[in-house]
Amino acid sequence: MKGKKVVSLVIAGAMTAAMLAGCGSSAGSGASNDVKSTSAGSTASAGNGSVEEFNLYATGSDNVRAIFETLTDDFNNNSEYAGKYKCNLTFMLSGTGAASMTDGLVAAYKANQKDSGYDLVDLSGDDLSKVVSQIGEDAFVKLDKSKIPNASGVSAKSSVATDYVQPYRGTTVVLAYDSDKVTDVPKTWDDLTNWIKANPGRFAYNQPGTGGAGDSFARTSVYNYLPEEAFTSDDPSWEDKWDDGFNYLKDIHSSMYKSGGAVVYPAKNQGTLDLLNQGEIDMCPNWADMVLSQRKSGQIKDSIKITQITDKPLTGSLQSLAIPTFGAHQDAAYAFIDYMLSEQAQQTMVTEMAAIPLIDTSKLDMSGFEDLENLDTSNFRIQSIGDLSTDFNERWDNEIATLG
Amino acid sequence: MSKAAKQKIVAYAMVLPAFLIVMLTVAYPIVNSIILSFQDEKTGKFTFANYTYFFTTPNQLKNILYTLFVVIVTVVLAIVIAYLLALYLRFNHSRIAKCIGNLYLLPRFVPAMCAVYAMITIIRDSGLINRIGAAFGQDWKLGLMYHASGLIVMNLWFNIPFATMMIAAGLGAIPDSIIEAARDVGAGRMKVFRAMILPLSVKDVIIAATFVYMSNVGSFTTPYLMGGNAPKMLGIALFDQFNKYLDYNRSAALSVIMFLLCAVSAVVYIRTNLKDKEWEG
Amino acid sequence: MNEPERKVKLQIVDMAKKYPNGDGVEHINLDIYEGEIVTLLGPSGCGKTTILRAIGGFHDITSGDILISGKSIAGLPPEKRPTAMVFQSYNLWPHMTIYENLSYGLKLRKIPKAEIDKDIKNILQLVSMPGCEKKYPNQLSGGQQQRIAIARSLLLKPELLLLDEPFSALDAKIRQQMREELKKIQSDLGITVVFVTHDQEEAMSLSHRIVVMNKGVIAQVGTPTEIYDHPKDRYVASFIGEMNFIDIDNQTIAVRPENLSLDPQAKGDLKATVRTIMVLGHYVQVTVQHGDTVLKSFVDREISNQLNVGDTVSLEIGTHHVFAKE
Repeated sequence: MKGKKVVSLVIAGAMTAAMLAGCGSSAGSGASNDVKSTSAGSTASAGNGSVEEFNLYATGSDNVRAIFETLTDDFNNNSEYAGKYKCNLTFMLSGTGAASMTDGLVAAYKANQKDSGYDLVDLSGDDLSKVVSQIGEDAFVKLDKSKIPNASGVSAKSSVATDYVQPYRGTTVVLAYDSDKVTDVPKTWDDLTNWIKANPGRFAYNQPGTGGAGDSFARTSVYNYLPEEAFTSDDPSWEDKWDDGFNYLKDIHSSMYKSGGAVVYPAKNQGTLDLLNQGEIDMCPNWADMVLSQRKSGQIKDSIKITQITDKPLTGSLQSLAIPTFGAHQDAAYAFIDYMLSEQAQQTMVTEMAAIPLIDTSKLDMSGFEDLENLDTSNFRIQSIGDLSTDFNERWDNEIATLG
Repeated sequence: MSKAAKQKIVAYAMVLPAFLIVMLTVAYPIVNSIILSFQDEKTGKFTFANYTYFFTTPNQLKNILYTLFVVIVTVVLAIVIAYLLALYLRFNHSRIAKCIGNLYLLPRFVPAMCAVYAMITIIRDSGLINRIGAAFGQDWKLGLMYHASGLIVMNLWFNIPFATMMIAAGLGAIPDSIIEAARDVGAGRMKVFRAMILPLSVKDVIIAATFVYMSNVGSFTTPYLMGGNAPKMLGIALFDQFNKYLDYNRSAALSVIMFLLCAVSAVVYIRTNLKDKEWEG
Repeated sequence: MNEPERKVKLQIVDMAKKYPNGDGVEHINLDIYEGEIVTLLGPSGCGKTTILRAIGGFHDITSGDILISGKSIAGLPPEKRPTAMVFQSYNLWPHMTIYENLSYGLKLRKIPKAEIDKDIKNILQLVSMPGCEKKYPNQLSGGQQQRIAIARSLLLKPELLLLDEPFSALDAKIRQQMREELKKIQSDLGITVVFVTHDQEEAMSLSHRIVVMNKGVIAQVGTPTEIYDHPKDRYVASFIGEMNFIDIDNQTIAVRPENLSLDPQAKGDLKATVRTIMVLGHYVQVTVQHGDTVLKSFVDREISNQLNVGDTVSLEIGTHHVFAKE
């Protein structure tokens, strides 16, 4: 009897511990990202001491990981730099909170590390603004364009730390629509508003905070009422001027997609895209690359097309590479940047992820991705509101999500 | 050194790694969370504000009540259905029962994400059921997606096999002769159930219920993919606090609140397990 | 024992019960008289428990009929049958006190509480376990639990008490004691009992009549002495008591050890060699080798004193049975 009690206690204790661990781990999920270190390509001569190895840090979703593995492998084995440099990829899967790579970068800078291992980093527009706001653009090497010959034809520029980072691909949020259902495709923001109200229940955007498409739509909606400069500012005083924009979101709320009698904002970019593909809605904001690559692979219907608002376009983002001053192997890093702007790498990014190429598209095979050619990367509408985004999401959750 | 002392050292040495891991990965984060939950976000001073926020803000309070609603409905339905299924498996010896007995655990082996997506393709308003309806000229819109009822359906899918397994194990431990002896003295099927099977299996039922309850209080995947925007399950509310609003103090407070909600059933579990009734000896 | 005026309590008419795998019993015809203890005896798998469970209603039967006091009970569920069953083990409901165990069936019959209390007191006296009402089954020994199980069955005043190897899980000494008590209770109450066992000694000591079962059919029915003295076939002869089988010409002679004498002078024709001599108190067991077979003989000390291992003796066959050679 005593033995049984002890066993029960131990089991109960273990259970409590497991439960606590469960609660704890969900609280800590943001900090413990899924870190996957991939040493891409191992050809480069075990005995050859002349191969210079360097580390590349990148983050993103799983399809981005696949691309990076393909590209680093190609760089190490097939490119003009093969045998000379070897890229070791450290990829951090996003989706449970994208803070970690940038956090690590900031921490390494603040710790005054010299050879921190951050030889080259891949940064989205948002991440870049975040990092620059915390450690300044001087944390990165001012790029010597002569070491990146392939960049000569690239017109796209990062709005933040312009001289310190090299954009190599772009993507933008667009309107995805079912061309079988939508005949009067909206061209301006007013067209879009009218279309939404004329077709109640046929439009959806995903919850801000669960995917960039919804973020872009909700923020663009709000910042359309603010001066353009506000869109790239993290000054908290702009928050006071959000009211008109939120009123607009409230106004269109009742015309959004409904399920079970209530308006629903699906989670994640894929959530709205699935609804569109299933025919439950006819239009939604989404990432151009996501829509096109899924259309190419047959995951979604061929009738789904993309368009961009011309007067107040949905926001896009340039993906850039930057060389932290606290890393090493600068020449190798330059070589990789140059490689990423080669026709070969750009073609891979177009074909595999429907990225918007930054070099002259006439040199690339754009079949199947003709839609991309109309998206002008040189005047991308960039948003970077920094920490204001958390307040924005919280306000949206409290004011819009609860409307029912 | 005496043999007993040596054995003791070996025993402690064997327990030590597990103990250290638990301390490091469980105890430390918990203590950390609790401290964090009582600190002001900016000043770091002691405050109850992180807790009062969740109990006074209408939206957050709704989240807590919504979570309890979903979880309790899930527990009640899962246990009732699992009990009926376990009774069927225990007392029906047909080939169908045998077949179900072999298959009912299968859902446990389907990864949660796959299961949720599979369920979505079936129950969504444009899903399989809708298409079947369309074949008969009907337009069935179930309205399960983004709604508590959809979450509960999905939770049942996950929890019924598990609860059935636990209850079936309990029922399997009741010898046939106990039931036959009751039939023999004149008890019909219902009376046998009420007087014999129920009291002899109630412990397993309670334990199954506590497990179902606990695994659902903090559920994330299902409400993330199938839940509506508001109110939210606490798992999602925590995700928001942590990942969207980056408010780590409130996140810690919510973690502690969720832990306390879980603790209710842990207490029930421990009491059920420790309270040796006189007859269990 | 079989006087014609005795009333038939249980009648089994050409009953068959077949399991899906082909096992089971068939052509079971049996009359059991009021106030009788009848034992179904046989090795495991012979179908004795199948018959008992069919009487109790725990099996439906494939064909035939079962009647109690002339009325068919074949279609009734256990709770509607005037029978009471005691199982091999786990009879008592572990979550109920002894009082609750005993009173449960009576309460279902809506008997007033005062009467229940009185009955329980009396029955506990009868099974020599007064004052244990408040205990739980796990606080009793195995033997005590079976007494309570019998008491619980008796309380319902069944027309027929069915016992399925109720003592087999008990140790030898308690088993002996329980048999005696069961026999006493049975004769006090005059109740009809069907008892299943694989233990021939138990069957011999307890029963008015024994039904020897073999592979799903009845091999022989008779009083213990009838079965011992006049086994119908070689199977029954071998199953009940000890028996030597000697093949002579085309016949098998079956002779019990006490009826097989040894002649130390070896004057007879059937010669054998002494293998072992074992003194078992007032008699001696001697095994001898005759051809390929080893035979057992009980002799008195006077004879055994003249024997040594390896001696040649001759066999003298007393009372015996002759079966066709197999």
